[in-house]
Amino acid sequence: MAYAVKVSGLSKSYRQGSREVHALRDIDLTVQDGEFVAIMGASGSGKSTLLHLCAALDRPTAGTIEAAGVSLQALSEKDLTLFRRRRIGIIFQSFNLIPTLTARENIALPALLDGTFGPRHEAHIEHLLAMLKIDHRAEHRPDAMSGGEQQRVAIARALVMEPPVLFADEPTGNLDSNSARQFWDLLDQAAGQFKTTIVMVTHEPGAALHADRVVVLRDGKVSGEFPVENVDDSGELASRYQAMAR
Amino acid sequence: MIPVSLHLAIRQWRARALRPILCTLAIAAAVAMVVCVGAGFDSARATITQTVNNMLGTADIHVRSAARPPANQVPARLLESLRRRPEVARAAGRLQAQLAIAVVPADSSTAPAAPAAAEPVLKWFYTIGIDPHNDDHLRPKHYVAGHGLDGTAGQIVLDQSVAREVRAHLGDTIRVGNGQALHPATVVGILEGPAIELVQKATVLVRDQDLAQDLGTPLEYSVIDLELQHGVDLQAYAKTLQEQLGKTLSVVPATEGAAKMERETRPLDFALLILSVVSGICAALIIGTTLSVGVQERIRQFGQLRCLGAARGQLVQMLLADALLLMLSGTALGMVAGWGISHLLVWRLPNVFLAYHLSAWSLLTAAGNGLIATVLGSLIPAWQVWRISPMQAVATMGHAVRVRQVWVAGAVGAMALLVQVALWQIPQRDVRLWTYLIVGIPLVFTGYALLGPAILVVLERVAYRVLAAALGLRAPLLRQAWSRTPWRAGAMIAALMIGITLFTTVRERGRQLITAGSFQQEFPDLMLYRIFGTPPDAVRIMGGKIPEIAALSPVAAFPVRFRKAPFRLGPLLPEDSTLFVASDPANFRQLIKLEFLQGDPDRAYAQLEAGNAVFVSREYQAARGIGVGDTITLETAAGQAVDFTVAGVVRSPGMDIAKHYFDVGAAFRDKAVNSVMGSTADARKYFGQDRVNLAMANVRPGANVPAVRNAIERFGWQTASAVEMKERIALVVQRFVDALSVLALAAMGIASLGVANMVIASVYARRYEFGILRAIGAGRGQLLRLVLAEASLIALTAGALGAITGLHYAFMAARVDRLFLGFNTDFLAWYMAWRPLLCGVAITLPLAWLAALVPAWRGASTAQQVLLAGGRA
Repeated sequence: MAYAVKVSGLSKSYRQGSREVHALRDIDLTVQDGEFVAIMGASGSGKSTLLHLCAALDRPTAGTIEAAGVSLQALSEKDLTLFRRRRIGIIFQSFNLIPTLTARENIALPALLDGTFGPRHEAHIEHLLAMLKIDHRAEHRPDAMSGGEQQRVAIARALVMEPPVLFADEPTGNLDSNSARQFWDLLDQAAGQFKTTIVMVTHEPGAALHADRVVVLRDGKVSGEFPVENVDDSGELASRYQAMAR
Repeated sequence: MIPVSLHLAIRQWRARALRPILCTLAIAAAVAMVVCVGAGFDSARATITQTVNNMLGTADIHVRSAARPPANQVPARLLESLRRRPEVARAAGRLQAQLAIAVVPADSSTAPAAPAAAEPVLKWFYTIGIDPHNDDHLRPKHYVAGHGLDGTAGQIVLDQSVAREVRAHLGDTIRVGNGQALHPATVVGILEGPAIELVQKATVLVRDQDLAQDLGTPLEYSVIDLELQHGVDLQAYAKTLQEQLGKTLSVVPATEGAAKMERETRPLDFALLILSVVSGICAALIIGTTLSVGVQERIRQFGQLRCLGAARGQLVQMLLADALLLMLSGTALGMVAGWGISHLLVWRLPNVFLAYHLSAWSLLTAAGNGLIATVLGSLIPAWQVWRISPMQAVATMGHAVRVRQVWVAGAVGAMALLVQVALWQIPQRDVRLWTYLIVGIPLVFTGYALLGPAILVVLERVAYRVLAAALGLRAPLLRQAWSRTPWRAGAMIAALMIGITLFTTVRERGRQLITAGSFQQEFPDLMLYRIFGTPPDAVRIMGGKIPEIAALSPVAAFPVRFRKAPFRLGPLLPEDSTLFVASDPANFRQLIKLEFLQGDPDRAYAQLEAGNAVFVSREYQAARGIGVGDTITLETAAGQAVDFTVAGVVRSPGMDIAKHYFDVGAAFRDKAVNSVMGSTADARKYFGQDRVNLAMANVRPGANVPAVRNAIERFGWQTASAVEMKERIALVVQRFVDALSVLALAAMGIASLGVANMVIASVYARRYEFGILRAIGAGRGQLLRLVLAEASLIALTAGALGAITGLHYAFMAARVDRLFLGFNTDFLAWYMAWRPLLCGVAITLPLAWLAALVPAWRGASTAQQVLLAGGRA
């Protein structure tokens, strides 16, 4: 089976005042095509840093990353931009929608930036709006939508270019339990339909329960991992995660 | 489909309309200011051209005598011979002289030596004798009442200013003549104007034969105007005619007059450029601040776009699209507003402008001003956007301001000020002058502007307690209120400084000129002038007849040519001509104060008395390298060379101002303001100059000066007292100062739009902080005062720095002598003026408050939940 993301010997350090912070230390990780991996860890464990590096938002200090069939370390700034635009989708905890654009325009934004927006994208956006049950909000701006609706717009935006890999950073962190449940249902449906690989960072056992596998980080290192298929509920997942995170 | 960058820019505008509107207004105001100034200059130039055309007419060629006055007339028979030439379509002669008009004085007080009280006073006017049939074709005239001369004897035409002065109306019969004999003349027409008295003299028109008869001379002309047949090559014919008429006559194509006109009005273009730069910098600072604030506010949004795959170039395009919208809307609005306002101004000032004119160059300058301001203003924000990384979409903390950079900027500013001081030490005068103008003046402003953020930080640390106490706030609330955004605040300070600097400079410089303490001491009691000369003895006889005159010194001022002109001096000094001011040295010394920069006064006057010696002005010393003991060679009336030894290097602001006052240089069609001064004996001996046209007089203590002046004017002299000169100069300076002050206030108005923008941004950025303050019990009034305190410190800093910069410029302007005014002003006193400094602060502070009030009130009156929610988002 081919992999969607492969990380080898990945390290990331940065300076915080006069202090050197080692956010990630020699990480190896592989995510298979179509797999849904949840990365868990305590605050400061490096899980968000790992996601940012895999999504080409930042550059590592050492190590290599291959994502969506592209080796990132050799890419120029321009190629990294194209990688983000065409090969991956990102969903943020705070939705990160452009407040001055409507839902439809926000969804179309990657295609607009790519200069390839056309009838094919228009049809695809209609399909996403309907699938994510936000077609009645298509002409509304983010400030007129609920948190759940905004996050569904963010899913649609992340999928509009049909990327092979989707990165999600605490996607339900700002949602209530009903909205979160609806989000997972719709994400499962969309990812299943487009066969998208998902890499998600979360600290919520309930969210991780939707993944195929959980990878636990501690102090910038992988401290363990386990498949979710044998986990019965979020309580059990939390126990197993905490055992690895300590 | 519109590009995504433009789409986002338009959406941004729609979402937050107030700030782009304010920025658009700032650009529009800057552009409108340039359009207004351009239209003012264009209209003035059009008025001058129209006036000069009225004076010079539509003739192709002017023929004058090449001799010096008074033998500078063209015989009447030449006019007849020229008319017979096949190339000549029309020819008209003009005789220029002075004619006296009898006026019954409104105030009947008279000097003891004057005739009885009821007897009218003679006033002398520049008079032109014309052949009406031909002259009206070549020099079309605009009559506000009546008509032109019809060739009948005993008719006279006055212009509006003469008619006012002699209190004559259409149809009146007035008494005119040569001063000895008067005869009646009927006013048949009143001419328009003169619109600009400095360009065109008040004029009287009579028939040429009548004027010749009054003068008691055969008919001859001062100038003959020729209109050539269609198709005749003007330059070639002028050359041929010159060869045929010989050296005694001067044949001048009219195009030379136009070219001279063009040269004379060129400074207006320079002034337009300067004002464009001023308003452009102001607008650029505001655009830069607005865009920069927009970038800082949207930094997270730009980061998000980078996460979604927006390239750096696309972000810059978005910013530039924003700037483009600002520029297009601001420039269009400014053009229309400027056109409207300038029309209104010209319409309201019919006595100054004869016509409205707005040239393509002025419009281009205004549009270019908007364009350049936008480009300059976009540079730093574009650089900021270029540097945004995708990580800024997920970053939780902003960058702390590095105060060290503020100190470095302050040090660079101080360095710039030191460099401009060093520039003034350049030994060569011309190099020093131009280096200072081109490099030094911008360095002064840059220096003070760069000091702005540093001073702001220092003031914040020193004065926040005082300001807090003054505004009834808790001091900790004001701590670091400004140093969080020192560059943005610094840009606003610089924008405000432009207006306040201009304001302080012009008002302080004006004050220096108007209230110069030693002004009157430089002058005799009275300066006397007449267009055409009179023998020196006649002056002395006049002095003998008016016992109130204590001392009288006749002076001749006439142009002479240098034999050699080895020194090329650029635009400041004419290369080969100068004005020879001849006087009786002993009398002259009693009447006017000369300051000797080189040479011993006693020895120098003795040399002048002995002959073949001159005093030169300090401009000669500096520009031509001539000093005491050197020799200059002048050309005599017979074309021979004669050497003069330089006996002294002097300066005499009084003489310079007097020459300007009476426009003596213009009377000789020569701008030789840098005179050499010699004796009347030499003037007679070498230049055949036995007539004088200037004189200086002191009156006895207690004498009735107006009565003495009346008595002198009966002898055909114009007179002016030191007080009168000072008043007239003060009036001109005051008008100039007022006009520039309006522009300065407009610049401050533009800057205040920027301050409003900045305060809006500041309130927006601090919503969360305000929400927390409200939540823990801060009142709305406290928040309002908090925001006003921020605007106050910016205003205080800008006002103080602007005033200091203005005073600096005013001080330097006093040293850049002769640049704009044409006479020395080094004698003007310099002192530390607190008034302009306080004035600068007093103007800027309420302006900043006014700009800050609405956004401050909006911020303070917003509900705390909204503030907290907005701030978190």
